[in-house]
Amino acid sequence: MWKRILSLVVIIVLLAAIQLGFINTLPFFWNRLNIFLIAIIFAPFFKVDVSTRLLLFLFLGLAADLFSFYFFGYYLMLLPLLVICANFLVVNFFSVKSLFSFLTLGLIMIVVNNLLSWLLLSIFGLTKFASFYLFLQEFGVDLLGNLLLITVIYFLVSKIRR
Amino acid sequence: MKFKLALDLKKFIRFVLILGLILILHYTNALRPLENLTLRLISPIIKVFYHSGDNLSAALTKTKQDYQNEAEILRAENGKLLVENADLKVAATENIKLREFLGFFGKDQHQHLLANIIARENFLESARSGQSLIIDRGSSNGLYIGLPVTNEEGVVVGKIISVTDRTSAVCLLTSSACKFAVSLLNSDHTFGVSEGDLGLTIKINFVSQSEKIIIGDLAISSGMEATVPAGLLIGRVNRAEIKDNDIWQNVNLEPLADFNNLRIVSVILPN
Repeated sequence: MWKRILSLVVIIVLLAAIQLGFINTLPFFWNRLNIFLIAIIFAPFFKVDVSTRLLLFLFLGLAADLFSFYFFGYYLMLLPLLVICANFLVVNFFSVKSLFSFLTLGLIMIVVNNLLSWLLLSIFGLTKFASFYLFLQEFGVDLLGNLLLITVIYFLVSKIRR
Repeated sequence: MKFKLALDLKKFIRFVLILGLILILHYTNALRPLENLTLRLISPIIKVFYHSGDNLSAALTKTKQDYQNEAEILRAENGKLLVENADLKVAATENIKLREFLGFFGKDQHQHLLANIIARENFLESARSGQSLIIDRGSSNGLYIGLPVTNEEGVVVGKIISVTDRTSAVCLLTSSACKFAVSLLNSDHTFGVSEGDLGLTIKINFVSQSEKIIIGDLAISSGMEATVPAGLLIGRVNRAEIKDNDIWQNVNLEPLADFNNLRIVSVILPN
């Protein structure tokens, strides 16, 4: 049990450090990569049950909120919602573990992520509902960068698992 | 079409409650100690990743022009550092020489005046009178013609042959203008007059053929000159030749001082 908790803590810290410390400092295009989202997409395929995933991303959200400029609770709410969404899609539509499945799942999750972000920020007053087009402006870059990353990670994971 | 949520309702409610609790605890500041602890633990790790990302970002965003500008700046700085380094090396060498002088002066009972070599005589003058140095001391410092000049080890390098108010010309031992009354440290205590020869060597004149001179004998100042005290080391005999038709022996000395790396010299003042 302690081994499990420790490994979860390590994963949380690493993911937070990479996304918030490393990726956010990169120049435009590279700083649109979303490691949290990629982890959410690949987690179901590592046979991690939903409850553990929810807990993992809840505490990851907590850590991210501490370093985030958004309101406290932004990542805390966003990440578990994305986990639920990804789980729903995997269980009902994407049982096959092909690259195409991952890319399609990735595409949908990027859309969901952007929508949820906009919604949360609008509800809590950080942005206006009318500024949805701002999110659309960077949507193409989000899509390209993250789908590329999904492809790379897919091949890496496939090689490791062989 | 039925869809599976694949999520236990009880677990989901439990999760929502935990989420709510965390939010309430945060906004009531009850979670502050745990948040601070988390920040303290994670910050150093994030810092490491941040620096890596920053460096990578700088490398990715630098243009060719940026690298060229940086290269120019580094080149200029390198040039400046090379000059500074050379100055420091000179200062270090002078420091060593001065320390050696201090060691020499400690043993020597004569008065002395340190001087910097500021120039060597130009080619045409050298052709006539041999090599000479210009030092930055002159009559205003109490110098006059005939005073011996030594290096940091106390070995004679030459003699003052002309003086101005602020500078003096020193002829080197190998110069034809440079003559010393010498004495050899041999069994006969041979006396003679040293004179520079072709800017290369020193010959001793007026040495009788009866004098026993061995190669390796040291030559010192004899003290017979009013301006040159006795006992100053001049050279070593490297040739002693007796010819039947000559009155005198042909004796040559090799100078013991190195004339090439002179920067500071000492002028010996009589007591």
